[in-house]
Amino acid sequence: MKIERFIERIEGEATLLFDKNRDGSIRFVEIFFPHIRGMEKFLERKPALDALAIAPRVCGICGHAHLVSAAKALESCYENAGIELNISAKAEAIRSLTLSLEIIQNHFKWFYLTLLPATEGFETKKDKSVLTAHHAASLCSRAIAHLAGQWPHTSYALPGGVMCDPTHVEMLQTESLLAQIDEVFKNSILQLDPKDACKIAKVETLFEKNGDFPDLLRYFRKKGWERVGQSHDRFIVLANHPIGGAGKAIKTRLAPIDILSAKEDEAIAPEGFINHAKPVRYNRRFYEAGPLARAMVAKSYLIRQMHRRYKDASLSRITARVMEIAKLLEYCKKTLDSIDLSEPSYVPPPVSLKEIESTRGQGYVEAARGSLLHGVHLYRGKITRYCITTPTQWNLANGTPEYPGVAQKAMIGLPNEKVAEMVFKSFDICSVCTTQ
Amino acid sequence: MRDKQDAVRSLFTTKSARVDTNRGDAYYQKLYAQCKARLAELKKFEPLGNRVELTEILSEEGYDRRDFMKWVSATTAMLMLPSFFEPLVAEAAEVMNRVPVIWLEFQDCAGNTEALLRSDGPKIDEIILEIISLEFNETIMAASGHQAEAQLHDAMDTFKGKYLLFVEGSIPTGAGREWCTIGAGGETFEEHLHRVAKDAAAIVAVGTCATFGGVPAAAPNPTGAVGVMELVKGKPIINIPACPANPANMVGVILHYVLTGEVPELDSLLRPKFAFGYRIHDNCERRAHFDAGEFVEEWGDEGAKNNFCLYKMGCKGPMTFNNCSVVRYNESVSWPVGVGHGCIGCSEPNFWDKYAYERPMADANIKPPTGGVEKTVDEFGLGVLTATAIGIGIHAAASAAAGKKSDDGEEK
Repeated sequence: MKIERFIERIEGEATLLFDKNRDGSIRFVEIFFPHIRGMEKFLERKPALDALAIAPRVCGICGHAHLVSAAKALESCYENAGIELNISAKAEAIRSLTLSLEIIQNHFKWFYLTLLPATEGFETKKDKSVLTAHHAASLCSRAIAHLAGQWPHTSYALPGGVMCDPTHVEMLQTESLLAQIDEVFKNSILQLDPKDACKIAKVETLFEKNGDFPDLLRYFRKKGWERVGQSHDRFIVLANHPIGGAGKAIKTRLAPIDILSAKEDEAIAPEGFINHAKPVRYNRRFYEAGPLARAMVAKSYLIRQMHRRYKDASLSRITARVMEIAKLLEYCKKTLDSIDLSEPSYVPPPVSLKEIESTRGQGYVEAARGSLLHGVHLYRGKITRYCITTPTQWNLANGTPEYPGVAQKAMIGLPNEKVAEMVFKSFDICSVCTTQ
Repeated sequence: MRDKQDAVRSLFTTKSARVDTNRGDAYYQKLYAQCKARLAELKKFEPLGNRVELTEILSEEGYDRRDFMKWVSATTAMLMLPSFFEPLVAEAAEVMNRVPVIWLEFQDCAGNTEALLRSDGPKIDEIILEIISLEFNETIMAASGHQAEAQLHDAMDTFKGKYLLFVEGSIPTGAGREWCTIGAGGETFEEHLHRVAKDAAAIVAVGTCATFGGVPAAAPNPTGAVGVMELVKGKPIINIPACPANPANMVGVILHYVLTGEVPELDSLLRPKFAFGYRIHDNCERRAHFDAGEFVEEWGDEGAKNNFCLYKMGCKGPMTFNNCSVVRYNESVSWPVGVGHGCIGCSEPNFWDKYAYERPMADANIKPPTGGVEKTVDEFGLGVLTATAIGIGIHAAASAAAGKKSDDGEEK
């Protein structure tokens, strides 16, 4: 029996096509994304720096990550042409700070607006939790605006650094906003100071705490869902990030990565269905990207303990994501303190991209949902090819019953569609990125 | 050379503000009476969907009347109404839950929804959840799949002819139309738009994608994307371009509709004049540096450190009609020019191909606006947007319907 289900409350729309057993459990599921704009196509033939204005518009949630990837891709074009760029520590810190804030606001919204409503039977004060999410997100975007001008869709980073030149006033205001985000965290998701939250070393301690997140943990335990949503147990992190480095892990076994082994394939869909999501594989195998992957590769003590018990189940995925908020908040405060305002924000590249005959480059960052990769080919300053590989292309790839994608594998065998939808949403869905 | 100098001089000395901000006592007295009658009418209705009253929520969330009235004053000024309209604006905000809103997303990135979600004033989260009667929004509503389809159908049926339809994202036509479908029937975006638009009171196109095709329409426009006004005929359309559109302007349009029952006064590209009657440059915080001839010559130079004018770095502020320089973004924290990256003209048609910020303005293949607001918008439009003629047609119809035809085009 095949059942089609549309998934809303995400950016855009996704379709899940369930193939069910007699008892209603899930035999196989296919994932389609029916929308496309063709971002990669219209970046072609445009001047290189136009990518900085267009790429952020791929996504209204992680546009900043797209901007930084694009800027890094262009910087690597210089490097590959043998021209060294000098990016100041201040510019790097500001980029990393705003990127982290974007991830924090995403995680808050994902938890309250996507995950909780998809968790069947979990009692929340609906209005209150929606307000919490928006309050946190609004604080984050104001902090970003102090440095990047606006959020969403800013274009303030460029090869050589950033355009902003903050004064002590902006620094102070950002600091105050960070303190307010701490308060929201403490009053809602986990009733602990983020600093203390980072110190939690035992899974059981987490179950005993107060807050919306521990409530959810206990609800999962009550329902016996601790192990639902297990997938391939393979993780990938393409870029260095505030909490750890790049690498891949199969179960807990770590290995370095070679970015060239990550390959995009054509999107597949059966007769009568439309799908624009191109799956991405590493050495022809599906890997999971995102906070759980980051925590596993960074050997986070708490998450590894969780993994020892429940493997890569939805519960581990959710925990990694929530705990990442605390870690990033601590990172943001430290980074803000470290910025030396007397350093330059921007150091001009020695030549313009137009003066380079032909070059290519890749830029990658860790975005809210996982590894984001921008690849660009340039000819005398014009883009000849642009390729964007998003985190959701790793996680939500549509494979075959023999070789299912990460989210597919996590949903196979689940008792019903409701639980499957919750597991699906534990990956943090975004259709606009997946198809661009 | 001399011609060029003259052109530049006239470009920046023309009195561009042709928005009539003082229409005289008689006009405002009449409008006041009209709004009062309209609000009295709306108050007779129950709030839709049993939504809570604004005053209750505000006090619950720790806002006192004073905070609310501060927002009211700012909004009244933004809508270009005299201060004695403030009590009416306050009342209008309180009865916003009587007007149903349906929000559709097409080829987009949800950036406008995101922007709306963190508007300021009476916190927009309250507005969106409790005050505005948002009957349908794919990104933030609770229902999904077939349930969502049913909800949309219900909303359309119940509020036939009364709902405001907000559209976010462009619509693929031509070769690309099958590339994007929605819902169970595999309906194309175009069919979906026509179906929902049919019974709308008015359509608000939010963001540059929904107004002019935006990013998806950038050359070579692989999906044949267009904006709403190219497809929907015979309905009042209000365009709120920019990427993302400023939430203050979205709330402004809704409030204006609640207050008067009419669409606000529009320019020839169907943009509300209260927001798009001025150029970024007219009210820019760096304008003094422009006038003093102090420019940033290179990112990160001394000029950049001292907030000099970004014109030479390709800032499109002088070409771009929007109120960012006044309203700013993210609860008025900042805006692009504020952090030194210059305007990219994101609220103008085809800005991806004509305006993106690498090209200094002189090379940008844009005719300098030498006329006033109406005139320049038309000139721009005719140069870059084939749909302008259609736009003007609809505009005339919309203005006539609204009963306040604008006649302030600039003569030369």
